Amino acid sequence: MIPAKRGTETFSLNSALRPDGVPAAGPGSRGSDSWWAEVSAVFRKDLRSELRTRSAVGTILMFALTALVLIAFTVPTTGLGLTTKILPDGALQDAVRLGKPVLFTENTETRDALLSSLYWVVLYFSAMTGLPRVFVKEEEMGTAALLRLTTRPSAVFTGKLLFNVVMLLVLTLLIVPLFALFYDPQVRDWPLFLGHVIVGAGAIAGAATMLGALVSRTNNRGYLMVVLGFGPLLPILILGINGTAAAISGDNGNNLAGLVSYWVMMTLVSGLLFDRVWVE
Amino acid sequence: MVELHLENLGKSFGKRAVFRGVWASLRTGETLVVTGHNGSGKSTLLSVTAGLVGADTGRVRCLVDGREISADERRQRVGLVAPDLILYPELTALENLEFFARVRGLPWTAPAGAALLEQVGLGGRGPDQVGTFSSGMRVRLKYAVALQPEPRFLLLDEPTAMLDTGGAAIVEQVIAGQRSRGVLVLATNDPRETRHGDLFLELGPQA
Amino acid sequence: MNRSRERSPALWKWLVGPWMIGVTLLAYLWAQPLNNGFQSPEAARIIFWHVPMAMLGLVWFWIGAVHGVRYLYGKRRGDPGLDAKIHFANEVGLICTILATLSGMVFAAVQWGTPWNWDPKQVSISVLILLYLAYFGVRMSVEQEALRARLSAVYSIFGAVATPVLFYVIPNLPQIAKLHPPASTITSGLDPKWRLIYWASTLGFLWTTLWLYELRLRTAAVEEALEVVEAPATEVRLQAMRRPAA
Repeated sequence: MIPAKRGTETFSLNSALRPDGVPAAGPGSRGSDSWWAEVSAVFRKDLRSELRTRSAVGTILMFALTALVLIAFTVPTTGLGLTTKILPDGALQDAVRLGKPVLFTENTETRDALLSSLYWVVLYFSAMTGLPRVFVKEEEMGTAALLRLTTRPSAVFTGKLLFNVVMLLVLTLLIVPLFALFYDPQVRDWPLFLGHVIVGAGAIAGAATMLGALVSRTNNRGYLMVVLGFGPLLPILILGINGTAAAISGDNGNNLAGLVSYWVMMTLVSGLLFDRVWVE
Repeated sequence: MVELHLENLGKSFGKRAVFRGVWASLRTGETLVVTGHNGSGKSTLLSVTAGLVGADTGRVRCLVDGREISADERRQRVGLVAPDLILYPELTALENLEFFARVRGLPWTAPAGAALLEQVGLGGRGPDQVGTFSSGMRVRLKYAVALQPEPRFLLLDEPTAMLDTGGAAIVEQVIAGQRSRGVLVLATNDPRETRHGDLFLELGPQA
Repeated sequence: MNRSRERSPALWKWLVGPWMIGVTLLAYLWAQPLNNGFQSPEAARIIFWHVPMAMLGLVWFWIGAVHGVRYLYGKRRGDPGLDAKIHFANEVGLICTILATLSGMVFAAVQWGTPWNWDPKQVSISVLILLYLAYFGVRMSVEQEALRARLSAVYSIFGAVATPVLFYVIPNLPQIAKLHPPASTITSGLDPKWRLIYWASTLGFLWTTLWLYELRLRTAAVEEALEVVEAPATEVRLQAMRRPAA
């Protein structure tokens, strides 16, 4: 073992075939510095094949768009009782007498809660459709075996977790403007709204990555994820819905600390359990 | 000095035993040939040996200079070529090589990768997506991936399946070269390949 | 499984019947109806049936999760017997949870006027039911036994980790309107008689569910024994041989 001699030669078949002793990979060459390189290799590989095939992002974006449009068509989120109110009694009589408009615009608590729930339901179903793809793709294409053979489980998990977090953040950044456009939510506190939306997306990706690995090994890859995700992800949805509703109405109701702690907890548990799901 | 010991290996799928009580010991320069009819468990035995599938009974021990290597290290020391291993079709040949080099913690340079492709007869095809490759070219690329870390333990399942005469000649070279580097396990029924064996193991219904 | 237990008539199982009859009699004859805050003073007796069920549901899910950890990491890693324990603990937990939901609905109809009103604890318990139905969904989606056991053990742990958040954190969020009394009502603010009967009932139900669990484990063991075809007793040794000298 002569680590210093490892250069281009390592990859040449000639040296591999040479009868005399050949420098071999030193056993110590897989330190923690190499772990990050492995994680980043997995992440970049997934990103590259995603950009080339657009299998996950395209699907979930279409899914989210369809859901947003469908809800915009079918669920009344504007109008009397939701965005417009009749002036209160005394003011109403004055307005009638003076010939002024009797309606005024103001968000109601119901509308805040409704819009905020719509957002998270769309995000949940889009995420459950798209996030397992990183693992389902490997199993369906049959590439999982070679990945198992060559890559440490922890590097596979972390790389794919990063990829899913990035993918869900991209999705979030694409659907928030659409949401604002279609529903006119009249958010009072945008930083708080975006804070919940971004941290919530990260938390969903954190808990859903391991479940995606689990689902990819079952016979029901297509729809099991929506069912499995519900219980473990509901706390995120409830915290998110409450937080964004508060941000829309301008009330104080900051659930970011709760979201972050649940995110950290679920990601740690996922990371611990992952190799039991992944390794044959 | 490299040693590979299969000790009382057994594997079943559900209630059906694929093989039981398999024993073998080989050291640097030796080749084990595993034969047996289709479905006798040759591929499964290789997967178990590579550490891809866990055994139900017994264990696989890989020793380098008398020291047993860890599962982590095994990923860097074991090369496996098998029909059911699949490379990423949406990546190019070079990108595949780069990915597997990086996840195994090996140093990577593009010229070295190109040289390796040259030697498995895929010179100039580095920038092409693997999805456009013929099945024989994919097998050649699998050899490149398996040989990348200069594996001390090389496992070949149906070594020349899908390959043309040029490809088969490369496999001959690889088999000969492995003698100096470590141990080799071949799963094959082809008499042109079984002749390389020092040890033989026939899987199948046991009398 | 355990032969000595099978042979001796299990006295503790026979005692469960009288015990629960005693608890029921005490609950209706000894405990005085409570007037504070209950629409119908008689309805307060829900505490003896509903609360132990909800609590035992969680206890059994956690027993399942602990066996899950043992299955994945313990000394008996990969033992199908442990998989059966996770499976049946979760099954018993699911039965308890469903009974708690049903008894809660009866109470809600009397107390709040409608059997279902999305009180946070009703949300939590319905999520719990869905969570463990999903556990059985995982089991049904994998054919290979070892993999099925592994994946469902992982999900069982994952689900159990979410339960404290579902049951203690979410219902106590300041923004959420709730109808259920806080859990401390049981532990401190209760009439001593009521507390005694409550704990006696919890013990009785724990006892009953333990029996149910045992029974499931033993029937499964019998089924398993019927199914297994005896492997040939002879030790197989398939040794790689050297090439015979030419």
